[in-house]
Amino acid sequence: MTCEELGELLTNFLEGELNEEQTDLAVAHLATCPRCEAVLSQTQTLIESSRELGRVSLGSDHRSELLASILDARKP
Amino acid sequence: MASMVVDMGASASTSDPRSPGSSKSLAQLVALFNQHVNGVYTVGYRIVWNAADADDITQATFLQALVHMDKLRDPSSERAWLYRIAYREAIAVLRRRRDTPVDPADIPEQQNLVTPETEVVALELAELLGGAIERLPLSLRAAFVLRDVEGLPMADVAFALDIGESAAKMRVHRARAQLREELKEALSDL
Repeated sequence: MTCEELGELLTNFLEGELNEEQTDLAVAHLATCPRCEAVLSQTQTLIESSRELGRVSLGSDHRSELLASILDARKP
Repeated sequence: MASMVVDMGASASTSDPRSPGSSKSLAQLVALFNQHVNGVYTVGYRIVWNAADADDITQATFLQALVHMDKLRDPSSERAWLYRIAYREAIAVLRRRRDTPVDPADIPEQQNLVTPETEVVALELAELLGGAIERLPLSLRAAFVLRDVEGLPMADVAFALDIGESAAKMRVHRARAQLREELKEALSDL
């Protein structure tokens, strides 16, 4: 498997959607290619960071105000 | 996987327990709100990048959910269903912005929604990440937010965006590639 081929299959690899043969080829390539290993590592860090830092957690006041506005808006 | 069909027809009468005005519907709405408001707000905010607009999107999403609550057949799909509504509302906001001349002086600064408790390193990455997500083209931004910020399964991302699963996967793939390129240094330091 070439770097370009792995790059194209990276999302499928991370989603666990490669077949057994493709997975073996990808793992073998990653074991010997520092550049592709770095790309995989950066992508995994990106996903983990996005999950952790990307989500907005509204404060209780904000939540209450939003809910109140929704309940008010439904009144005729 | 979100498989329900949402019929956007007229609501039932108020005497009907399924109607938007019934106490049962309101109880369902509050439960839905408490469980999903952060996610719905995040989807809206990360697409339009304005807190006031995100509030409007959130309100509109749950109002529509209340009206069409009886059409939701599969409770396990309610998150994808809500995000689909939120995405459409966000697109409507962006279209109104495009059609309305805006004085640059009126554009608010990007809202910093990181809490005071966030560690310094995480705060810096959060700001870099937020800016990079904002710079993604809309189609990639929405897919990335749904998959990698909200953790929606790829099939549900496709449902929310009303596209095929292959298309959803391609958008996520391209978004990750662009973000990785822009944030290469920051991601390598972690």
